[in-house]
Amino acid sequence: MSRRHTLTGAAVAALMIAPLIGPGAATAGTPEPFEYRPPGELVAGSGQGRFDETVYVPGMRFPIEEGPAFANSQVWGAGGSQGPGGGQCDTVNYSYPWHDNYCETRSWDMPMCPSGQGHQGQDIRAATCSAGVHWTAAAAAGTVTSIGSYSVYVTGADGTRFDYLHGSNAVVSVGQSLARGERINRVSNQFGGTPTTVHLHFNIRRDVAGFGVVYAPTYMSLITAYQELYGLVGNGQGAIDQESSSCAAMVGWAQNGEDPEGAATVLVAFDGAEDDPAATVIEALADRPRPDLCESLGSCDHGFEIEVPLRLRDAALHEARFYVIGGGGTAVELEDGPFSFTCDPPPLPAGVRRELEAPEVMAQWGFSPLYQVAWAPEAELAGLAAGSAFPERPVLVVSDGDAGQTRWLMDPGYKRRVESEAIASAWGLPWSEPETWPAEVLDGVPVGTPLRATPFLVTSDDGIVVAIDDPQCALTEDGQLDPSCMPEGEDDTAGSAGDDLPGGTGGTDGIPVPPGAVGEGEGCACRSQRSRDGAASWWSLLLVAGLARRRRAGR
Amino acid sequence: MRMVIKRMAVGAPLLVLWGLGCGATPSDEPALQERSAVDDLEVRAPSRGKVRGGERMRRTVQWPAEATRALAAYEAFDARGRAAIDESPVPVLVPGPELALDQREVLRGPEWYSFWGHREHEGVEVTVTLQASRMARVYPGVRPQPGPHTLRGREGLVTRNEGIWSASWIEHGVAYDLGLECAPVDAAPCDDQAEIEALAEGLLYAGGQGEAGEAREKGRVMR
Repeated sequence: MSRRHTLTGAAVAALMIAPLIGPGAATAGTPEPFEYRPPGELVAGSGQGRFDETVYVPGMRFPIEEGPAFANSQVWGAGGSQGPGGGQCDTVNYSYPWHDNYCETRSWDMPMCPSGQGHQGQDIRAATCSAGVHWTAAAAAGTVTSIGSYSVYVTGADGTRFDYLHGSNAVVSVGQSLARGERINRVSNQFGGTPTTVHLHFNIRRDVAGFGVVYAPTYMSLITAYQELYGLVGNGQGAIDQESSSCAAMVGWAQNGEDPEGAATVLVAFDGAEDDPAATVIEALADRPRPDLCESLGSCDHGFEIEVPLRLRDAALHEARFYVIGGGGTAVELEDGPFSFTCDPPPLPAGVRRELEAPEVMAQWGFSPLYQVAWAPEAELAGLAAGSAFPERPVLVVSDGDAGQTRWLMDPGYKRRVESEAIASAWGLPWSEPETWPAEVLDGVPVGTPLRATPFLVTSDDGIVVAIDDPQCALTEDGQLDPSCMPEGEDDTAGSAGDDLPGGTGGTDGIPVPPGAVGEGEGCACRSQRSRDGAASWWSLLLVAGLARRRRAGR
Repeated sequence: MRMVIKRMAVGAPLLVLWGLGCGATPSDEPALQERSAVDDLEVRAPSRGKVRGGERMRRTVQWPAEATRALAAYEAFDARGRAAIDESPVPVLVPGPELALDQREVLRGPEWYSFWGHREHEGVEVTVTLQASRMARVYPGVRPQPGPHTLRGREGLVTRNEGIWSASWIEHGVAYDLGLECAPVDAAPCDDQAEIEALAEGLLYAGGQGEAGEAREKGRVMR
């Protein structure tokens, strides 16, 4: 089935009158409407694309100064080495629809491609097939950080790098600051002495948690930038209900004029416009019944009620601007905005603070920095004792000797009971897909406190994210619970080796109470410790468990 | 039409409340509609949006010991480059001075530094780039994958984009990205993947703002 995204009505008109708009707008109108194939849909036979509608760089400027421009494959297009024949200047290469070619078949590491390998960016042809005519333009304000024989790199304030390849006639120098839209070079066919086809190869190089610096998908960012270039304003309407909005939720309605009965997509930009690189922009659906709108709009399900992100409940003044994505154009700001709010953070729970040492930890756990991280004054946070580093990744296990299938979270040095599916869900743990560990490995792991009902993550102005958690008893040199941590009257072997546990690991109705694990806020003889140094040996235990499982599987 | 809708949206609930408060029975249809809307709001929690462009999260820099600093690498730069190194928010790694380059520059931004080196010799142009960032983006559903290569003792990625080699890894808590471009494309040292890996291995720590600089920076930050 073929699906095309087409700009119709006002969008087409805007495209055709674009030359009249003024400086910086498109100068070469085209009688055909802008169409694009969906992201991830590559030319047949050219590999497996990434189906991803994320706009990785909201507010990006189109990287060629003027339109029209045509995003499509050089290799699999007419005149390309894998193409259907013809020449690079064939009109088919200079017509819509656009085709994504991120992840097109290549043989190099590309962790964001489904196959792990692929083409790193997007090929874009300018208005004509002539080399050295059409200017490229800065996709964002930034600094020229490199000029090679056929590359120019521009780095934005946040470290996102925009790559312009195969250009000529550069008018910039290394170290030069560029404004958004400023000229860089001309679209050409430079390729280190051997010409390629005339096109701009455009990359977005960005630090993505979980990988480090990678080539991010460009296609959707290019589409929104192209719509902006042509002044294609979407067809939509809506309003904010200031009276009903509060720290609990932001309330309003929105309708997409191209799909008047469907759920409209609303953008909320915090502390800036939706195209401001410094703003935080979220998208949500306006799909809630609003009977009061039925008559006026012709359909009812256009309400939205959007949570104020936890991270922005920081006692500071914030401003939210609202937009609706209409059909075939840029977002339309809703009436009666912006909504300003100052919300108090939730109170800090008692416990120790455990640092999430890298964004990779956040990504491994699937936590949201915006919605799951609270803010607290630095002094208040510093008042909590420092605990060990937060686990690098979630490992939920059951013992192969435990018929009750008690779930344990492996926390470096300890195993901690996960008492219900609801708790597992709150932490993003795969309750129904735990790893099965050999009893002889799991039994030897000291029991820590049960996992709290929900994670509580918090940061201060320094940006360091910590989890507030229960203190754990210190471990002896041989990795067992320190007997001095025992509350009076407890069996000093309990939990140390699991030998009192049914099935060797799990409790029945009374899971062994770890020494000192007496609940939030209660004192005990526990000593918190930082166990970064022990982390390596801990993760080696995970490896041992994995190997043991493999051995068993091989029997 | 918008103003009408807005007035209706605000006014209708008020009218209903006014009517109930006075003991009057509001007309059936609007009352039912209002109840239905309120019920819906009660049963559905507010939506959480999906963040466009990823959620920003600053990496925690682990500054190398001062003793590991290669002064010769630092002194290979002019005053402007040294100033950029001194103020860099992340540890500056650079190729050693023994790497023959006609030009070498260090630039810095609020969250990054970059190195650029260039030489042209016997018809071969070589460009070396290196950048490190402390501002990561977290994307929902993107789970970490270990890079299949080993770079500087760490998991890393090696890729080649239009003939330009790139190697990336995480070190000192921040994300590094090394690039190597040649013209002609396959001239040495771009003719072998081992070359960029060797270039990565040979990088030296030239400096940065360090923990003291971070503290100063923090003092300047206003919430």
